[in-house]
Amino acid sequence: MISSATFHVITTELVVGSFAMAGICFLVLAIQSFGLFESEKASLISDNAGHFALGFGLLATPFAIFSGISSSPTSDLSSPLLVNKMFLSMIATGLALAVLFTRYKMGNKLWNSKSNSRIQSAAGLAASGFMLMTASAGGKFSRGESVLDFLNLPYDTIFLMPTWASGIILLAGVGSAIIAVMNLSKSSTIEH
Amino acid sequence: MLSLTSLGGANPGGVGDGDFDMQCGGACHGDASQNQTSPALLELSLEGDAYLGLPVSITASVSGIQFSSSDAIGLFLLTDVTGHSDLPEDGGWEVISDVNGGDNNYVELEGSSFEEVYTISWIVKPTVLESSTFYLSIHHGGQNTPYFAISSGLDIDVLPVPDNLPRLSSEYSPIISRDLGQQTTISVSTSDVDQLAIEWRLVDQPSSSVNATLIDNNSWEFELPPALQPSIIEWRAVMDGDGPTQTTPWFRIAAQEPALAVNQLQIYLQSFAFCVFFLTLVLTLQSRYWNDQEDLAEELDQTSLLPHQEDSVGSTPPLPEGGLPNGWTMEQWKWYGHEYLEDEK
Repeated sequence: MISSATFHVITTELVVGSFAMAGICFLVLAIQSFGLFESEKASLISDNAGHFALGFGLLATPFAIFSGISSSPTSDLSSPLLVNKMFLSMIATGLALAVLFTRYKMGNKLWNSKSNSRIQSAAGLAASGFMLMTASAGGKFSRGESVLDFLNLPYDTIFLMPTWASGIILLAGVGSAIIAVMNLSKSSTIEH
Repeated sequence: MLSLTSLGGANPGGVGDGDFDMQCGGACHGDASQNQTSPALLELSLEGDAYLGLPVSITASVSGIQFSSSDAIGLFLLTDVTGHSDLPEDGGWEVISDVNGGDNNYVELEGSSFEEVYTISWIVKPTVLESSTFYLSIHHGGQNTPYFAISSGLDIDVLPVPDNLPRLSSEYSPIISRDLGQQTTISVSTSDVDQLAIEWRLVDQPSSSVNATLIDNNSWEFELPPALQPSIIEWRAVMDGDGPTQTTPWFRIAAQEPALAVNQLQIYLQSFAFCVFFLTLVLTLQSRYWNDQEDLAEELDQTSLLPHQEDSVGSTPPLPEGGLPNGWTMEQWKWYGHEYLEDEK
């Protein structure tokens, strides 16, 4: 058996490595979507590698979150920094899920539209960025220093909404997500 | 990024107080083989006698430290130097409190003076009637190099408790932390004590006395004033009874910000709300622009405006009044009848 702290280290390394890889790929795709650089081969590799890395990181994310909570000093979210870590990781999870679902539904045709390709690469980059910020906050919590210290991020401040507000956002979000998924599914089945 | 990191193996930010073996599992200094010998002078001493089950203070004196850029050092109280199973707990001792208001064998201190002598203490309690040897170990950085040193051993013989010795009860363990602004009532359990006097002080300040109230047989209570900012208060008990008067070590109570008290469900719910919000945001944008692209494609598709081939070629022209002209078949009329009608006009 290994402790939850050790397991957390393993899973976070998987998550951070995968999201960092995905971030590089989405950066290449973002550059291509703005026409600053064009290479069909680079586009194909970045597309496949980026989405695969993002998916793998996403699979490891729940393990990292649960082992992180379990290995915290009081086994719950007892510090503002841990709460911020939870928020950041869940934002990254939401973005990554959306990116993967969009790619699955739209397929390669996604890159034929400039708007869609820009949204896709921006969302992928944002997912990677939020996950790396989560990892940075973890370093701040365990070692007292982080590579993002120069940004002076307000980790000690939490933006906490009332439960009812969270509930409304959750319900409205789920409803909107279902509509968006149906629209995407409908569109993706039309043959041009 | 690489150029921003130091080339040494030390971790200048430290790892925080905790219960760590001598090499702290590699957490403090990345690779123990990179350690240089610290020039620090280390010394341990015992305040009074160590009786089984009674707290006693072990004082560490440290001087001549080369501080790293973060001005932090790490100090270990150990009962072995093998690098494993060397915590006081492994030697049959319980750490009751440390200098930072915790109950750890490893503490981190901040300082900057090479000349200054730093004195800290741990309150420990022997749980077995055995002799032990304590060591003080130091980890610190300097010039991008991790430094390490260990003191000579301090042998401590644990004595059985004499009859009628005024003392704290062996099960008693003082509280070591409290929230800011909290009036603190401290309970004290004793044995063979007729009178109990309490002294308290802020660290390195003159002490004051408070009266302890006898609650019932061998149970006392006294109150400490609330703290308005994070600080440490020390207190000790002077116990009179049939035996010789005894004074406990200075126990420490750290006043700290109350732990974050929020509904965990609220945090989890908001986390999922954030997740769904950003998921929906991206899906909606993608869906919107995808549909716009389809509308544009439909607008650009003008094939419907072209005359249908079937209208011009495929439909059968109306037969003339006399019926099908001589020599024509219906099949020929279907394809060339409109030309015949044009010629007739």
